[in-house]
Amino acid sequence: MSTDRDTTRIVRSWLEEGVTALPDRVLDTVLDQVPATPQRRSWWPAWRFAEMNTYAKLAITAAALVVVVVVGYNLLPGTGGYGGRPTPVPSLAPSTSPSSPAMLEQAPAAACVPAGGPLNCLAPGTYRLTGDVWPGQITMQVPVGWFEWLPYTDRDAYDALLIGDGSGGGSGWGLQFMGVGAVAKDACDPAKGSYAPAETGTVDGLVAAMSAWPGFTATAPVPTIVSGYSGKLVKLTYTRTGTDCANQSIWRIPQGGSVDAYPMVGARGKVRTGTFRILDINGTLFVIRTTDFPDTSPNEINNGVPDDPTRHAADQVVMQQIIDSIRITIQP
Amino acid sequence: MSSALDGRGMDTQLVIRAQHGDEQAFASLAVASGDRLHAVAHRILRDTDLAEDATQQALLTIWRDLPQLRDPARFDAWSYRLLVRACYAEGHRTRQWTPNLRLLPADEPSRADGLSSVVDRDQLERGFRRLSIDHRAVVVLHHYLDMPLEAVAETLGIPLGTVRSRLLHAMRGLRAALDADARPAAQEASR
Repeated sequence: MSTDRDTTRIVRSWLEEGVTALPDRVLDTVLDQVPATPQRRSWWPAWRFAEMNTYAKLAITAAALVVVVVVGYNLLPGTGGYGGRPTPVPSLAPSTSPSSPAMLEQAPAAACVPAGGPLNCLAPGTYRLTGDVWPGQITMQVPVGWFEWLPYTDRDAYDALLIGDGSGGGSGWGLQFMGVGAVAKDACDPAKGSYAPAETGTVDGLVAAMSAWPGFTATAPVPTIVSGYSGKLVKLTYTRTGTDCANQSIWRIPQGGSVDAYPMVGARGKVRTGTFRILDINGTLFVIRTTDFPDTSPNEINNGVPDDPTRHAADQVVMQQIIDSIRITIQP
Repeated sequence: MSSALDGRGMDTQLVIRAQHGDEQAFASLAVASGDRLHAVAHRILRDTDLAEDATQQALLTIWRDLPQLRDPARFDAWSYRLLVRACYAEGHRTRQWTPNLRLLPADEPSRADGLSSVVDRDQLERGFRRLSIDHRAVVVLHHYLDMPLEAVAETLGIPLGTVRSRLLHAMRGLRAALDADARPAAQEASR
């Protein structure tokens, strides 16, 4: 039997083995993308407090006091702030501004809640989905404490808004927005091929394909409307164990990237439901997939977070408010 | 510890220039940091393709978020934090962990470090893959980068006690993996 010291020595030696050099092509890809990647700057100015004159200091101090009073009021129980009920997202009035909101990817960073965490969440505000690949401009109001998870790039129709700050592997709980390309005939076996585009290019066609995936159970579709666009809402669960769906891919987005079967698959035997809102935006399918359940998410469970049936109960309310705030605008 | 990770701090002026949007300065930073970041990503993810993707994503995030780095002198630790997050994202996006074992000659002699055989490596590999990314990150930062536990806690943004418990859990798992290999051999020898 090995001792702790043996194990440490062996592990250290083992870690020394293996690659260290980053291939030039990876570095080239990064440097090619830099000119097109805007830097994310904080809202606060870069200059230092000590460099300001007295009047500027007084103005900043007064502004800070106003912020403290407003935030402090909102933190009081019953006022809807953190520590009370979930922060309500006010209803979005039709925008009269000719300029479009910033993309999620360009949103300023802000501290997550509880305060003191890394500046890895998005500053609350109205943003649009990242990229110009969507069937319209799709905006939403982001409350405090959420971050963007961009699985691919801003040239892919796949974006997500998740609660938390991304540490610990991210919460894996929130909303995912995606386009629909080739739909798998078997979400756990890509070798079985995809449906012809004509078969899954409509809301009903996609629902039928999803309902036929082996190993999955779909609820009867119910009508849904998001920002005036109608579609169907379907809830999916996976009825086998998680280990027999290792090659999961429900469909590819139009740009080619694969969409996994999260959260239905991967919860180590737990049943987790994926909620799909499938919308038809002027003939193009747009899907919002949500983890609309109160339990700890599969990703959190996989990262060692204890299973808690009410972990996201309050977040569900906020998520619905985000969905209600979604506005889809077709640009002329 | 790897020579690529000798702990030298990055040129602060270079970091400041990159913070202000100097793409040439960032290119120099990326060249200087790429190998060490990739080495860490590869050891956490145990997969060459995933490690390259994570490193690429981390470098782009470093560029994008550099203006938010308050203390340029802490660039190295901050870049490891972003890298570990990129590793989390890769682990989340791609759940297909493909074996990436390096095959060694079966008659390779036992080494002084105790890492004696292909079987040892295979057992370690399996044991390590069973760990969550959280646990792997702590092991790699501490045992590969030689980071003190306090620095690991600061880098990952988690309490020191959590670092200790993750390391304990991880090393216990790896020791069990090695012992699982040693047990049949010991039984064989005692017959």
